[in-house]
Amino acid sequence: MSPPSPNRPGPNEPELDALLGAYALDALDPDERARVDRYLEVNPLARGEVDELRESAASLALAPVDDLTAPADLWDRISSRLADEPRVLTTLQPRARRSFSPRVVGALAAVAAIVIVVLAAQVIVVRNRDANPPSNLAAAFDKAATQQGAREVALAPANGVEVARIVLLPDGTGFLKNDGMKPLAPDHTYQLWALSGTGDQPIAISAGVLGSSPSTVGFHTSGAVRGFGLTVEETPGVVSSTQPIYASATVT
Amino acid sequence: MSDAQLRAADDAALARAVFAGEELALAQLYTRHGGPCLALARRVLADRVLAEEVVQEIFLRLWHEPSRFDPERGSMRSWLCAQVHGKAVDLLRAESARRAREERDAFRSPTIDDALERAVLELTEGEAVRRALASLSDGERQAIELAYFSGHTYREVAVLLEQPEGTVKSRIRSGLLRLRAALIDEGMRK
Repeated sequence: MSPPSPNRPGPNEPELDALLGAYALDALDPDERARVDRYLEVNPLARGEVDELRESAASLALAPVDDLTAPADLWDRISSRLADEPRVLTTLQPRARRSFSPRVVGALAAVAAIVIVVLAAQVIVVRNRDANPPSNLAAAFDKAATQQGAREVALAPANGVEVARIVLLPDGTGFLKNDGMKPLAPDHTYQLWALSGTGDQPIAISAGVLGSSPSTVGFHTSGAVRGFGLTVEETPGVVSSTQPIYASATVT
Repeated sequence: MSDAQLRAADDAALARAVFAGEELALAQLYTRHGGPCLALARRVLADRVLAEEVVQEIFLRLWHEPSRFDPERGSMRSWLCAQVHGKAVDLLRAESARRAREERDAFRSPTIDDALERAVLELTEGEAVRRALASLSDGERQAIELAYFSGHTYREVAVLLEQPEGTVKSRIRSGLLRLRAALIDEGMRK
């Protein structure tokens, strides 16, 4: 049997399947862990097995040598720090995955119309709650921009002036700051899309429904992100968009 | 939610309440799972201060980024334990902590850790886990305990047990699958 390619593991890799138990126990070397991470991205059966194995492993925590009572003083310390940072709220549900036709990749750069094919139907809503007042999120944006590995991109219409900036951190946490997005009518909302996938099979993931007049919002992405696009949709947002790209940016 | 509602709510409902910004829901999750999480971190790190820092970080992570928990991929306890374990192992493998582990391991048998069996007698759930563990072969149980509680990679476990690496990774996987089946028999898993 030929060894699996480290970059494109196939859907069934016995060598990697054999590592799933050790993976679930965090017992792999970093290189092997990275290989399994990539494998799990393309193999839902393996991912399901890891979830099951982790459930079993978690049960071992019920059999420790220590007292199982949660100490009150530790909660006091946790509670005192809840307001230290803004919260990044996406959704508890799986995020929507959509595929763009190959021409849409160019469209993101050229700001042409997009055609979106729904692969799954959930919309992520980014919420600005009281816990995340705009000032906190603005501060979080500024702080993120200074962090190591942060990438900052400007979203703009074709041949237009920048309307927003995005800071994306290596762990997928992102912040968008409105620099010129005009307020919309209350029955419309901005929607942010993160573009990932390969050149032949680009995928757009809804990174958030931003509201009609966003200031700074937080969101979270997973996997490699190649670009972002903004559309204007009717509230409460859409799972399938045929609207033109309002503004876009590529991530290098 | 009222106090009574919080106590009656299942973990999924509490997760939704945390997402909505209800601090008391996070407190309830801490009450339910903070103890096992801390015990797990202490067992891995052999250091209460470090263990508390790990648990604190994970609960703060749940509060600040609640969508990291995906209820469709497992239970809240499983997610919390996986997060705690991963963070604890990261710390353990840091160069600064390596010496402490080596010192600790000098007083620890790499084969049978019977403290596990002693502790579980105190709790019903623990008793069920003990019975589930007993269904594993000695080789499976030793490999899982050394990897999970001592933070060793499976390659290190192979050295400690003087077994081929392939045997150890196979035993870890088969042991976890057998543990799952045993926990289902015990009514702890669906």
